[in-house]
Amino acid sequence: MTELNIWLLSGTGLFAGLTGSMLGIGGGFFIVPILTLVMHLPIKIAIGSSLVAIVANASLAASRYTRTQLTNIKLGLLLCSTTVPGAIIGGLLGEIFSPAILSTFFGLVLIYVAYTMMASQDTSSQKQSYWDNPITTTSADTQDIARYYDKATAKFVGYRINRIPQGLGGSFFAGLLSSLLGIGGGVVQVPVMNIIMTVPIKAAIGTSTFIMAITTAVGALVYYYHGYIHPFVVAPLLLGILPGALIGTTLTERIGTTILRRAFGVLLFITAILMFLKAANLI
Amino acid sequence: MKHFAFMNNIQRQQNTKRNKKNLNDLISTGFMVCTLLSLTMIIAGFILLFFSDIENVQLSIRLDQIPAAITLNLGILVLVSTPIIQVILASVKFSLERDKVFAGISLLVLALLSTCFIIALV
Repeated sequence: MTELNIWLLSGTGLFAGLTGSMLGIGGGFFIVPILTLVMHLPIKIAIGSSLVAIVANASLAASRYTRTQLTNIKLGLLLCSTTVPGAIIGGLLGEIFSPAILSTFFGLVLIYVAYTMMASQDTSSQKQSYWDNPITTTSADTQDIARYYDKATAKFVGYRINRIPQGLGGSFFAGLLSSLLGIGGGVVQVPVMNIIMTVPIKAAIGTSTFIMAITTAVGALVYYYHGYIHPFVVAPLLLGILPGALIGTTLTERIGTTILRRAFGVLLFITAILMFLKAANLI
Repeated sequence: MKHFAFMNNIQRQQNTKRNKKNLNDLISTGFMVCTLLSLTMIIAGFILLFFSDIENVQLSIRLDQIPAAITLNLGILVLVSTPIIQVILASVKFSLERDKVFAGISLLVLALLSTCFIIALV
């Protein structure tokens, strides 16, 4: 019999909500180990609870980011159209590839991406103030330029979405890896949008939460159907996630893009280390 | 003539911005309403749980024995359906605006999500 510690569950939810909504990731990499290693819950209940927590976190964050236009809904839906097939194929290929080799390969890719994100400048910085006076732009400009209001600099930031085919490919890869390795798609999706498609980091995080909410919801429904989502585990987690997501989204809107990129880089390094540990069967 | 073209550009620009804002407001409100509704049910269920006779919350407790579990379960079901509802809302909005490309993309996403759900169940 497993006795549940409500305070530990709420604390886990608070931390996952804060980091997840701030960086556009799920937070499953944190919730699942706590539930299995510390609370000794069965792995399927841990994954099911983690999926519901991610949906709650991403939905709360997406609500706020959509209102402030940090979420690009059209871009999100477009990328979903390749992420979901990627996840389906990943699920079917799961038994063919060795998880150890995949984890090692993915860890190496993450270290490279983390270095790139931390070393380079945010693409949006060159285009800031472009939309300060939108009435002067031409109609051609309005068709392919999206924008959001950056509270940190008190300016509108306009951006162009470049290399859409490569971005769709990267998004497919994100879905494939998230399904093969059991990770949230955010750690792949955000760099794909930011580095390949030149979407500013804040808009990439906002759009990633929207994509994640949609893709994770299906997994959560399947776990719910099979009875792996236990209300007594999920409820305290959600009570922590609510304030965590509200604080996280406020911080993302107010802090600078450089700090955000570095924080994301650190997160990628941590994920890479976890992948190496997973490959070595240590976790 | 040049003046009319300029005014048309501004009008088109304002319409595009208004549509985009409407879509963002609709999805944002949809996310907020559904999430808050589900969280209210979950919190209500949690409060009911505290007033029930259970001393230690354990996984072995049968859910149908506790009224709180029904409220909690319903809240969770609304929560996990929230993002799917937003895709449906977006597809309706795009269809009403006659944006064929994105109406098609959102319907494609819905079809893919349904496929994913069916594959997982089989």
